[in-house]
This record gives sequence, structure tokens and C-alpha cells, in this order.
Amino acid sequence: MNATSAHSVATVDYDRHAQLYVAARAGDRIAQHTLVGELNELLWRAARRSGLDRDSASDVVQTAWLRLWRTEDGLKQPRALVKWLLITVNREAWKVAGNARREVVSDPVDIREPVIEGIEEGFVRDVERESVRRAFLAQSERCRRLLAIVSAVARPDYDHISEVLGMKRGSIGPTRGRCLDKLRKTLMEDPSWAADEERDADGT
Amino acid sequence: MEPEIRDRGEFEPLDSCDERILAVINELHHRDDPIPNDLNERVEFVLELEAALDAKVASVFRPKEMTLVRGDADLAVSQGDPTSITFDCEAVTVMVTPRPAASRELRLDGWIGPEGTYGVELRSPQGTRHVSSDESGRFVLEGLPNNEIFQLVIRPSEALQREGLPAVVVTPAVRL
Repeated sequence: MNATSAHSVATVDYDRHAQLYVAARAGDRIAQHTLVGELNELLWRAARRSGLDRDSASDVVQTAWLRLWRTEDGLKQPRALVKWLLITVNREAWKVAGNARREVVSDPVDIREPVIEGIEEGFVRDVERESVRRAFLAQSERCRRLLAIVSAVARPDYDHISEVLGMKRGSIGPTRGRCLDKLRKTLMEDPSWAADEERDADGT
Repeated sequence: MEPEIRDRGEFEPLDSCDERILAVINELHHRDDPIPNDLNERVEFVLELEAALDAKVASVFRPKEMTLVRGDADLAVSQGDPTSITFDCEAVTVMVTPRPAASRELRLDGWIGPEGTYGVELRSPQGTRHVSSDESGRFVLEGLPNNEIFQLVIRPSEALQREGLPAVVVTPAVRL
């Protein structure tokens, strides 16, 4: 999957998810396991970004899969699987959150009280991460939602997911998109990010 | 107004900087709001049953969110116990309240509406328990293990089905 070009990955992914779905519906447990493993995080983020707490988000993700499985004779267009699941999660989240979602909830990646950090386990350096966090939190709720979901999947899904979230993009392949463009501009204005960029340019 | 040149940026193809930013956003979410480590397992567990049943799927209403539920088909459930969970599907509403019993054990008090008799199946990875509700839709399950995932399978009586209730209602798996 990684070896192909960006445009062909999009095609491969949708066909692959469609094939996994068809196989899973026919009783293939391994296909089902793979499909759930690959798409669950995306659905989790969509549920959390609809303002649900962690318990309710877990419920809603399961409900979406359950509804998918009881859709009689399956989806008419298996290639629309991701879209169908995302729309179902959004609708169900809206339904169960009711009035509560209007309350101001903190962002799932809000800045927290500093914790004692052990060895940095990831490849992301602290400065870079915190710059991106600040820039991310400065964006509109709509953009944070889109970016959180898009970042969970392969890059070429950006346009597709934008469309599902009502932010239609041209079908011209993976373009930056308004939200990412805005975030990038916010980042460029952050001195610590700029310093980091210069360090990279120096060849670190 | 923004200068026109600013708007063109969004149509530029993603470059390595964009990819990097998206990777960090992804990392932030992994760290700060990770998917529950048993959620994949729970999805697979509930789908296991679904394969063999033509069932209706219930929505789950948690106490924190529950004020008044809008919509014609929804019930406005007064919220008594903060630990209770409400499952709602078409005309069927199930409310369960877990209570600690003996050490590491739970008792589950349930109520199903509309009034009538229901078969209640409680599925967990450890096995399945069956009970019937009384005529007012109440049921009790005792001696349940603590901190286990459970899925409910509700079967309205034939009399209730004649009144338009679905034959089977299933819920997502919740951890009690």
C-alpha cells in the first residue's frame, strides 16, 4: 500500500475496504477483524468530535457497526462504506447527545496540566508537538473535527471525508484544503515552530 | 477581505510539511484521546451475534447526556439513578441500573417498556444468561461479574409483537 502513488492509494483503499466488507458480511472473520481494526479509530474520532464523552462515543461506534451489519442485503455500494459509517456515527451522536452537545466541552486534545514525562516514546519532539497543538486548538470546531478525522487515515481520503462532513472539495486529488491551509498559516506565525523549521533546514 | 492569494493555498497539493502536521495531529489524538483498548473487541463481540439475527439496534442514552430526549418516538425518561443506562429502539425502551452486590459482583435491575413480558438475554464473553421479565417489564439479574462487557438481547412476547414491536432488539456492549 505504501509503495503506490498517492492517487492510486485512494482507489486501492476504497476497493480494499469494499472487498473486506463483502467478505466480512459473507462470514469471513479475518476480514471483519481487519476492517474493524482499520476503521475504528476514524469512527472513534468522529464520535468524540461530535461532543460525546468516551462512554457514549464507544456506544455510538458499536451502534454504527451493528446497523451496518443489519442493513438488509448489505450496502448497495460497498465502496461507500467509510462514508456510510461516518454519516451513521454523526447521526447517532447527534441523537444520543441531544441537548448536552450544546454545552461547552473541552477539546479532547486540550492543553493539560503538565505531567512528568518519561522517555519520549514517539518520534514527535515536544516543541513541534506543542506548536501544532496550539495551532490546532486555535482553529474552528469544524476544522478541528475535519483535521482530527482526516489525520487518522491515509492522506488521499482527505477530499472524501471533507465531503462527508459537508465540506465539499473538488475531485482533484489530495489538496491541502482550507482547514489545513489555515492551520499551517497559524503555525507559520508561531516563533517556536519557525525556529524548528529552520533547524530542519540546517540539516538535522 | 483576505487577499486573493491566500485563498489559493488550499488548492495546493499536500507537501511534506502538511504531511508532518497531519502526523502530529494524529499523534496528539493517539496520546491524549486514545481509542479505548477494548473497543475493537467490543465491536467484534456484538457483530458475532448480529450475524445470526435480524434484529433492531438500540441507541444508548447515558445519564450525563440524558435530559429530555426529543423526537416523537423517544421517551422522556426521568433520570433517577446516575448509573443507569437507557437503551432505546423504535417503541422499546430498556433501562438498566447496575448495583454492587457481593464483592466483585453486580446486580442488574432492569425495566422494559411498554409494559409486557420480554425475554432478556445478557451476553458476555463469559457466556449468556437468560431471564424473563415480569408482566410489568421488570427483571433482575444477580451475581454478574464486575467490570465485564455485556450486550442485551431483548425479545418482546408475541402479544407485544402483534402490537407492532420488533421481534428482537440488540444493544451495543457496555462495560458495567
